[in-house]
Parts: sequence; C-alpha cells; structure tokens
Amino acid sequence: MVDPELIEECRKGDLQNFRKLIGISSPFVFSVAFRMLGDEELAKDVVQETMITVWKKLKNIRSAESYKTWLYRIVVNKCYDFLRKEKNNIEERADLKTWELISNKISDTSASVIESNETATLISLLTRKLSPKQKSVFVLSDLEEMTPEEISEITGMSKRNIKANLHYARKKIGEMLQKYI
Amino acid sequence: MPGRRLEKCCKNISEMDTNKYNSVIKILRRSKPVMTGTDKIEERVLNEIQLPRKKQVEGFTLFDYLFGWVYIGWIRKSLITVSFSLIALFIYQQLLILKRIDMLENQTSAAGGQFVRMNQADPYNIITTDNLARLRLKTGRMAFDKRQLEEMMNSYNEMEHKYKDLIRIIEDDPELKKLLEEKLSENNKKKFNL
Repeated sequence: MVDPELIEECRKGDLQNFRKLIGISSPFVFSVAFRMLGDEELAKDVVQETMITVWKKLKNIRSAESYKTWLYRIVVNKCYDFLRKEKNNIEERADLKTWELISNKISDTSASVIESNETATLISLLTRKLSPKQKSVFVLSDLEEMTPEEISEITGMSKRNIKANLHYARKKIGEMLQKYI
Repeated sequence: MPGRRLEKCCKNISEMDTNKYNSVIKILRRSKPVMTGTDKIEERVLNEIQLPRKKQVEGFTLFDYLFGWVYIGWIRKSLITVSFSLIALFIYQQLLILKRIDMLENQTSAAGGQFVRMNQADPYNIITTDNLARLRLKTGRMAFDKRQLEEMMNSYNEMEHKYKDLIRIIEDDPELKKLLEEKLSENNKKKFNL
C-alpha cells in the first residue's frame, strides 16, 4: 500500500514526503470515514484530523509495515469520536420519499453503481440503528472487505466479538431493507 | 404438508432478504466514495502541522530555552517561580555582603593604626594609636588614612626626641637650669599677678 521508505522519510519530519503520504492515504481514510459516517463533509474532516494525528504520532509507529493497520485504527477511532459528538445532532433526514428514491435506484437492474450523495444517504439510512462498534465492523467487513484478523487488529475487538457485532449489524440492516426496499 | 409449504415459503423469504442484502452491499462496494478537493485537505493539513512550529518560533523565549524540557505546565511555572526567588535571594545576599565589606573596609583603617604601632615598637605609640582607634570606632564615620597617621606618629616621635634632648641639655648645665627656673618662676608670678 505505502512505500516503507516514504514512511521513514516522513518520520524524519520531511513535509514534502508527508504531502505524498497524504495523497496516498487520503482515499482509504475517506472511504472508511464516509461509509461509517454517511456524510461527505464529516468524512473530509475525519481525513484532515487523521492525517494531523498521523504526522504527530508517526514516530511512535513500530514499523512501516504496520502503517496501514495503524492508519485504519486512527480513522475508526476518529469516526467513533464523531459519532459520539453527532449522536444528539442526528436529524431524521430519511423520510419515506427518500427511501422510495433509493429503493427505485437499487431495484433498477442496470444501476450497478450509485452516486456519492445517494451512497451517503443509503449508508446513513441503513446504519442509523447500529452502534458505533457494529457500524465499524460492518463497514470494515462487508464494505472494505477486510478479514476478521485485520478488523481485530484495527478495532481491538476479539474475533468472537466481531462476529457477534457483524451478526447484529447484518440483522438490523436486513430488517431495514425488508421494511423499506 | 402445510408445514413444509410454510417452511419453504419462509426459506424463500429469507433467501429473498439475503439476496436483497447482497445486492445492496454489492452496489455499495462498487460505489466506492471518491474524495474531491484532495488538494484543499492537503493544504489544510500542512497548514495545521506548520502552525505550531511557527508559533513556537515566534513565541520562543528564554524560559522556553531553559524550561522547554518540562512538558507539564504547573511544574514549568513552579520552576520559573523558584528560579526567580533564588535569583532575588542571590541579589539580596550580594547586596548584604557588599555592605558588610564596606563596613569592614572602614574598620581596617582603624586597624591600620595598630600596624603603625607594631612597627614603631614604642609603648607611647601603642597608647596613642589605641586611643585613636577607639576614637575612630566611637565616631563611626570618621576615617583616618594610614599614611597620614604614620606621618603624624613620626612627627610626634621627632618632637619627643627633641624634647628629651632639650631636657638633657638643661640638666647637664646647672647655670642654664637655674636661669630657666628663675625665668619660669617669674612667668608664674606674672600670670598670678594678672
């Protein structure tokens, strides 16, 4: 994913190389944040905060090889913070009309890809009733296609815990799909 | 038979749900979020990173240089306070020492008389210088220069020698002695008459 030499240079405090690292890491960070938060702007804020944390704590990283896992761990934790902050501010954005629009889009067999704002809305609708842990496990497992070992390393949860959280997440999402789509 | 039908129906519904779930997940996987405005975020991150550095350079003080190694705020403040107190104490002590030195310097001018006395090895000088020293200590601010004191003692000794010589000359010459006695008695009579 990232050249270990590039990380070593960044650890020495090279800003030019860090700019490159931001360019390489941002898409991954954004993808996880966007899928967890279901909001493009919030996801961008997470990217910014994550990269600042990366710069500050890059010296503490054990090896350049563990960078990816370490980066995901920061993103997930940042998303937890945002979810905690946003818990009371979440508006009931989804009305039946929105569900109908999304449903039509998904039912359309020709549509294999949906727009960014539609994706955000769909994720937001589907994961609304999930806890932050369930959200992170669902995003990392089903959307980012990570193995339970990787998820365990990122989230610090046991494999059994991951399995349980994933089960409940899928169940809740399944219920939402059954109800609205 | 109806039980089997119901089971089959439920299975079909469950399969339908699973299919629905899978198809939605597939769509979501394919619709990978694309970040726009990467450059802006890059700039914002770099600005944020460089901001503390700039602040550090601008606000770099002597205290940062001396106590920059202490990261806990209250410990750093305590250290600054203690160092200030120590500096103030040091200045106060220095002033006190200077004052004492000044006082001792004044006292040495009196002790200088004793130095002259020792050189002269004359009991008469000893008494005189002792008296002068005592006078100096009593008068407080009145100071004698060592050289002046020496000159005064020399002239006094010289005068004393001359006086002794004169007495010896008078005693050696009885006529002169008689004449002087007569003159002195005459003088005394005159004083009495007046």
